[in-house]
Amino acid sequence: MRTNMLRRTQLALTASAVVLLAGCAESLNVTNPNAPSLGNAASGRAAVGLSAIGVLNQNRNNQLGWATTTGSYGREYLNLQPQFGNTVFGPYRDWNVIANAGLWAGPYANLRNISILNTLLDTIPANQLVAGEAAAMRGFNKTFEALELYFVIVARDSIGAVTQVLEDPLGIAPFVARDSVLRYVTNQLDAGLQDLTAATAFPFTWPTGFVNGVAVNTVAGFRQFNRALKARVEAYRASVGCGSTCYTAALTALTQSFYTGTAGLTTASLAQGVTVPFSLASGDAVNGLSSAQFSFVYANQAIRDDGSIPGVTTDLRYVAKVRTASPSAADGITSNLQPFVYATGSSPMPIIRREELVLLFAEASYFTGATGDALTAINAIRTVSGGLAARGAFASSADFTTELLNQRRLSLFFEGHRWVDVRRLRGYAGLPAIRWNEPSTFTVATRVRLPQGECNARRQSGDAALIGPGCP
Amino acid sequence: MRRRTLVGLGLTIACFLAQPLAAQSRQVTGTVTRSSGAPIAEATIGLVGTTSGTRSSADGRFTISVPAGPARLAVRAIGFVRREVALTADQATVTVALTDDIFKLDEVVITGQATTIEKRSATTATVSLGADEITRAPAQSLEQALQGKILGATVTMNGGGPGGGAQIQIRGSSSVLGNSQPLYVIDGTIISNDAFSGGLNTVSRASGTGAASAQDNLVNRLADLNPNEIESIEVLKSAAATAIYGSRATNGVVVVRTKRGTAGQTRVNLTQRVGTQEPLRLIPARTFTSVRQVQAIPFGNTGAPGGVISATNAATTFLNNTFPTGIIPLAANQDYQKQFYDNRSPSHETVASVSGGSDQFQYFLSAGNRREVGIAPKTGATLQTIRFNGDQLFKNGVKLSASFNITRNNLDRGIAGNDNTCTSPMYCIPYIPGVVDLQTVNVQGAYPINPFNGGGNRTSNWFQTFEFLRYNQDIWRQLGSLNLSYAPVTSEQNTVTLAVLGGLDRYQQAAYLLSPSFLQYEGGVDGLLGRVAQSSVDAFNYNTQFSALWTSSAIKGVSLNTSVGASLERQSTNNYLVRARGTLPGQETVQQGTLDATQAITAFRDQAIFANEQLQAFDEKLTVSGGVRADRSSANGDPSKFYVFPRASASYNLGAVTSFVSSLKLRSGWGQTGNRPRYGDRDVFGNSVLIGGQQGVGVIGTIGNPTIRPETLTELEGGIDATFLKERVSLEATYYRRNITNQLLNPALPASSGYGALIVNAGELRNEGAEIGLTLVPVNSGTVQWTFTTSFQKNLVRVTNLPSFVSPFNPSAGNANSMRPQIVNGQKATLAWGNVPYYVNTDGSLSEAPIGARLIPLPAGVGSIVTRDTIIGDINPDFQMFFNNSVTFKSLTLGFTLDWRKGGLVYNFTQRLFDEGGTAADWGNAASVANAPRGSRQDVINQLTYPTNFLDFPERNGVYPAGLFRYLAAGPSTDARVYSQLGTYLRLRDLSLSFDAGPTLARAIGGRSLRFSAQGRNLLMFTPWYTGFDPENNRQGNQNIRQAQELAPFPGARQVFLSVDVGF
Repeated sequence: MRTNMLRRTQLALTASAVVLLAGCAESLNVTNPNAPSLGNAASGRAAVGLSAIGVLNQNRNNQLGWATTTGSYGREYLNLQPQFGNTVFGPYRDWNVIANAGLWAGPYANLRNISILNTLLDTIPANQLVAGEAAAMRGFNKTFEALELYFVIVARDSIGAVTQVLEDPLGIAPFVARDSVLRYVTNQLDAGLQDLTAATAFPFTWPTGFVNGVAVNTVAGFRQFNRALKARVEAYRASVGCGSTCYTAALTALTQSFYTGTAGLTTASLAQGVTVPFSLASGDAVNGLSSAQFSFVYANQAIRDDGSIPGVTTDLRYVAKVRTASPSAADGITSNLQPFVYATGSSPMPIIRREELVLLFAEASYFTGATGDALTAINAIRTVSGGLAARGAFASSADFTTELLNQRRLSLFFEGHRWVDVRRLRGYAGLPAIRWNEPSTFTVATRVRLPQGECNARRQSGDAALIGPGCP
Repeated sequence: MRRRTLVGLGLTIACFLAQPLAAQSRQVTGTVTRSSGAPIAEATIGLVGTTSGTRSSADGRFTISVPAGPARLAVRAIGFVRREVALTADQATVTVALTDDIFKLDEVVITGQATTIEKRSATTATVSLGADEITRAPAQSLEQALQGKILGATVTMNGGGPGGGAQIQIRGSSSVLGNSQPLYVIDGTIISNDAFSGGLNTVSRASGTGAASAQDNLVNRLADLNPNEIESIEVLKSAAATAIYGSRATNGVVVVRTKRGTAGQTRVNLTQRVGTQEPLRLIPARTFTSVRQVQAIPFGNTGAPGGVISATNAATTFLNNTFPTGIIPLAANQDYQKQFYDNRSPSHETVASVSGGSDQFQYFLSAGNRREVGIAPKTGATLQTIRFNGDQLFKNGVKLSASFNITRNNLDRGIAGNDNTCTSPMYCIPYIPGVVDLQTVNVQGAYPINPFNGGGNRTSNWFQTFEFLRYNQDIWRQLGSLNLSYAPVTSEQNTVTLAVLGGLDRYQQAAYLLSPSFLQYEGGVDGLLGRVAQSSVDAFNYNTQFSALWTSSAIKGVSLNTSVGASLERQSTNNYLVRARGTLPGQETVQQGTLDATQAITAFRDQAIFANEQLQAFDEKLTVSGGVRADRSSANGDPSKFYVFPRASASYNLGAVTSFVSSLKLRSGWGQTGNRPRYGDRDVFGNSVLIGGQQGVGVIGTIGNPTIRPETLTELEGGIDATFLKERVSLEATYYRRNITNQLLNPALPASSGYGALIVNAGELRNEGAEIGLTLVPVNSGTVQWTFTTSFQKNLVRVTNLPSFVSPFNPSAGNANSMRPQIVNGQKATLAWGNVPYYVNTDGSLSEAPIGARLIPLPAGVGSIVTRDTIIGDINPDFQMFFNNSVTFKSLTLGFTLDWRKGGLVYNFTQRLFDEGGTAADWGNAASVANAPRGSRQDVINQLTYPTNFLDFPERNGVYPAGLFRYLAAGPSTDARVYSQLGTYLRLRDLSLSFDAGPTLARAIGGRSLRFSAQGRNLLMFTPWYTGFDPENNRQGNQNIRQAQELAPFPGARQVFLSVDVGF
C-alpha cells in the first residue's frame, strides 16, 4: 500500500513539476513598448536626426517660454485665465512668492539633449555619418547650446548660471558668474562657427517652419543664423559692461549674418529670419501667445496707455499687432487689448529676424560713434515698419536710448525683448517705470528666480559652494 | 530542481511515518444541532488525535468509525463554536449541540498558500466578515459595503457618483509612490483593482489639455464584484500573514471566498430590492434680493474685480432685461443644487441563486442585476453578474473546485470634480448667482443660455449638459478559477495533498464620450465645437500555483503542517484612447475633426517559490507558523534575481486564566513583504516629439532606474485575544510597527541636470499603530440577542532616513496654495503643508500671522508680511472608531454601523469656490468667528474695512461680508489655513431592519423561508466643523498619501431600500 501511495505521489508530482518547469522557463524580460529609445547608436544615422529634431523641438518650447515669461516681466503679456476665478498668472504679483521660475528646466533639458547627441556623434560608426555631416551637427549643437544658455543667463542676470550638464543626473554642477557665462556663450557660438566652416550638410531633414527667408536648414544659412545670435549676445554683453569692444564684435558678426543693410527694406524683408513652427496637429505644440487660440491671452494696456510713445495708436506696428477686445480683468489689472502678433495657434514665432538685426546695427553703430549709421537704421525701421516720418539727429545718448527702446518695443512686441531691453539699457532703476496702472503691491522683478527644486537639491547637497547665489 | 528535491524529501518522510490503520473499529452515529434543536448540515466531525473525520448531512446526521474503547469527537461548523464530546467505550449514538460563534473564534484564517488555522489559534491579527455583514444594505461597490467594518483599515469613497470609486488602506500608507492597493484574491484568483479614465478630461480639462486624467472620477475595478455572491472576506493585515504573497503584499491582502453549494436538497433564493436616493448633503445657496447685490459679487467672473459689470457683459444684459426694477423677487431665486440633484427614480436589485448537489458534486449558481440611480439626471450604474461555482469529488479522491463569474458593469457618471471649463456642475454652480432659471426649456425644447461666469462658451448649463452629454463606461469582466487537489497519502496520522490552482481575470473597459457641438460650453477652450472620445482597456491577468501539503500528527500532541510550492503570475493591460475634437453635427465617431490618440501597455511576469511550516502542540495551545517565499519579477531592474520574504509568528492560548477571563491568547508575528516596482520604473526612455511635421526624440522628465528593486516592509506585531465573563465579552488588541525600506521615490533632480526626476529606492517609512476591537454580548437570551462591537484604530506614518539628494516633495497633488502632504525627512508623511503668512517683526524674527493678516494694517512692531510653506496640521485623523450593532428580537433583526472619525484636516476647496463666486449662503452675513475659518481672531475681523474699489451694495448694511473675508484671507496663494477644516464626522453607514416571516407564512407562498427588510445606506452624517459635501471625498481619487481635498464632487447619496428574500 505504501508503495502504491508513493507511486501515485511520484506520478502526480512529476506531472506538476513538468508543468511548473515549463512555466519557469518563460522569460521575465519584458520590454517596454510605450516610448522610444534616445541616442541609441545602434539606430545609426536615423538616431542623429531624431535627436537633432528633439533639440529643435525643445528649443521651440523654450522660445515660447522665453517670450511668455519675459513678456510678463516686461508688461507685454497678460494671462487672464479663468482658473481660481481670475488671477494674473505669471510674475506680476509679489514675484518672490509666485512659483514662477521658468527659463531654467527647459534650457537645461535641451543641454541634456545636446549632450546626448554629442555622445552619439562620438560613438556612431563612421560609415553612418561623413565628417562634414558630423561637423555640421557639432556646429548645430554648439549654436543651440549658446542660445539656450543665453535664455538662462539673461533671465538670471546677477546670479549667474550653470554651464554644463553632468553625466550623473544626481550630480550638481557649480554656478558660474554672469559675465563668464556670457563669455562661454560667445565662445560656443564662435566654436560652432568653426565647426560649420568644415561642415557640408545636415544629416537630417529639417522640420518645416524654421526657414523664413533664411535657409537655416543649409550649412550656409545656419552660419548666418549663428552670427545673428552672436550679434545679439555681443550687444547684450556690450550693454551690461563690455561696451564698445563688444559692440564692435556685434557689428562684425552682423556682416556675416543675414543683415543686409538699411537700404531697400520692406516689411516682408524685415520679417525674414529664423522662426520656430507651431501647429494644431496632435502631438505638436500650439503657439501659446495667440489670442485667437487662447481667450486668456491679453496684452498689457501699457503699450497704448502709458504715454511713453506719442501717437502710438497710428503706428503701423501697433495697428497690426494689437486689437481691442471685450475687457477682462484679474487682481486689479484690466485689459481690453489682445495681441495679434500670432494670428493663430499655428503661427510661427521668430528666434531672430532681420528687423532685430537692423536695430542691433543701429545700437552698435551709435555706441561705437557711428551716429549717422544709427540714425539711418532707426529711420529705416520708423518709416518701413512703423509708417512714421523719419526723425532728426539724436540730441543725446539718452535721446537715442529712448528712441531705440520705443522702436524695439513696437518692432519686437511679444517676441521677448522688452524687459531685457529696459534692464540692459536703463539699468535696474529703469524697471519700475514699465509698470502702468497696477496695484501697488506689484513689482517688476530684476531677474527670474531659481526654481525651488533647484535650490532644494543644492541645499541638500550640503556643499556650501554648490548652493550658489540666488537660493535664499 | 531544488524545489522538487524539497517536495520529494517531504514525501519520503511522510510515507515513512505512515502507519497501518487500526485493526479494530466500531461505528458511531449522531446528530449535530443548534441549541434550539435545528439540525446543522456540513458540520465536520473528527476523531481527536487523528485526521480521520466525516461531515453531517442536510438533516445533521453523521456516521463515523472510531476505534474500540473510549474516544473523543471534535465537532465544528461554520458560524458555531467548536465542541469536543467524549464517547464511552460502548456508546453508539451521540447528539452534539453547537452554540453560535459570535466572536468567530472557530472560523479558519489563512496561514499559507494551502493552509489555514482556526481563528482561536491564529498567530496574527486578521479580520473576517460574513455575508450578512457585507450585504447589510446594498452598496455602490464592495468598498462601501466594508466601510466601518474592517478593524485596521480605512475605507474611503472618493466621491458620491453612482458605481463607486473607493480606496481601502490597511494599516496606513506603506508606500509613497508604489502600489498602495491591497492585493485582492477571489477564490484563488488574484484580481486587478486598476482604474482607468474614460476620457472625461476632454470636456472638463481638469488636468491639462489631454483626454484623460486622474481627476476623472475613476472607478477602480473592485466595483465589478457583486457583494451578494460573497460568502466571506478575510483581511490579512500583518506581514507575518501577508508574506505568503511575497512582493505584492505590503498593503495587505483581502481574500474573498464566494458562496458554494452544499450537498442536500436544491435551494433557490430570490431577493428583490427597490429603493430610492436623495442627496446626503447639499451646500445651501445664497438668496439675492437686488441686481446690485449680484453685480457687487467681486470675483465671480461677472466682470472686473470689485464687481463692476461692463455694459456689454451677458450677465448685465440678462439682469437689466429680467429685473428692470433692480429688485429680484424671492421667487426668482433658484436653488440649482436642489433642482439638479433631484433624481429619485427607483434603484433596484434582483439576486437569484440556486444551490445544492450530492456528496460528489455541489453547485452554486447565481445571477444578479443591480441598477443604482445617481442623484444627478441621467446618471446611474448597472451591475449584472452571473456566477457558477461547482465542486466535484472524483472516486479516486481527486477534488475539483471551479468558479466562473461573468460581470457587466455599465456606468453613466456624468461630470463631477475639478474642471477648467465650468462644465462640472458643482464647480460651475458656485459661480452662478441663483437668479436665472436654467432648467426650464423653451417651446423649441432648448435650454436657457447661462449668462454668468463670462457667459457664452466660457460657461455651461449643467441641465443641458447632462441631458445631452454621453459619458459611458462599459465593463465586461470574466473571472474564473480552477482548483484541483489530490491526496495521494491519507492515513490516520499523515495526509499529503497536492493542489494545482489556476486563476484568470480578464476584462475590457470600453468608454465612450460624446459632447455634441451645440452644448453651451463647446468651443470655449480650444475653439473646436463638439468632441468624441472612444477608449478601451484590455486587461488580462492569470496566476497559477502548485502546492504540496503534508499534515502530520505522528508525534503525539503535535500536529505539523508542511507545505511547499511555486507560483506564476502574469498581468497585462492595453489601454488606448482616440478622440476627435471639432466634430460635425450628428457625427458620433472619431473619424473626423482634430484627432489624437494615446496608448499605454503594461505587462508583469512574476515567479515565486515558497515553503511554510506550521506547528501546533500542547493541546493546540501553542501555535507556531513560519515560512519563506522567494520572488522575482519582470518589474525589477534585475528580473532574474530572487527577493526573499521570510515570516514567523506564534501564539499561545492560556485558556481560562481566571473565572473572569474565559480565554486569553498571546500572539506575536514578524514578517517581511515586498512591493514590486511599477511598470516602467526600470526603463530609461526618450520622449517622442513632433515639430513641423517631423518626429524626433528628446529627454523625458522622469528617468527610470535599471537597478530598481521592490520596496521591503518589515513588521513586528504583537497582541492579545481574550474573552471574558463566560464568553460574553471579547477583546482583541494589536500593536504593530512596520518599517518600509527601499521606498520607491522619484526625487526631483536639480533642473540644471536637464532631467526632472529620477526613480530610486531610498528612504524609509515607519508606520506604527494600534487596533482594538471589543465585542460585547449585553443580552443573550432565547428571544433577544444583542451583539455590540466597538473598533478603535490609530496609525502614524513617519518618513525617515531620506538621503540628502531627496528634497522634500509632494507625493500626491496640489500645491502650497491649498494644503497637501509633503515627504520630509523625520516628519510624519501625513502632515498637511501649505502657505501661511508670517509677520516679519522689526527685530527680524518671524511670527505666524493670524488669518486675514494681509487685510488689516500691520500691528506695531511688525515690518512686513511674508508667506512661508509650513505645517498647518495633520491629514491623518486622531483616531477612527466603528460601532457595529446587531440586535435580534424574536423574528426581528436590527443591524447598523456607526463610524466616528476624529480630526484630520480636509481642504474644502468646494467652499472656496462658493466664496469666490459669491454664492455661499452666508456670504453677505457679517464676518464673525462663527462663520470665519477655524482659528480666526475677532480682533482681526473688527479691523476689516470693505475695499473702496469694490462695488458696494445696500444689503451689506455696512458689515464686512463673511464670504469676502474668507476668500480674501485665503488669497490667491497666501493662506492655506483658511479652507482647511477638521474632518471629524460621525455617520450612520448602514442600517438594516429585517423581519423573518417564519416557515408558516413562507409555506403559504410555497416557499421555505421569507424575509422582509428595510435597509438604508449613508443615512446620517454629522460634521461639526466641515462645511463641504463629505470630508471623506478626495479630488484625485485613490492616492497613497491622500491629499484630502474635496473639490466640487458628485454629492453623496442617501439610499433606502425595501427588500424581500424568499427561499424555496
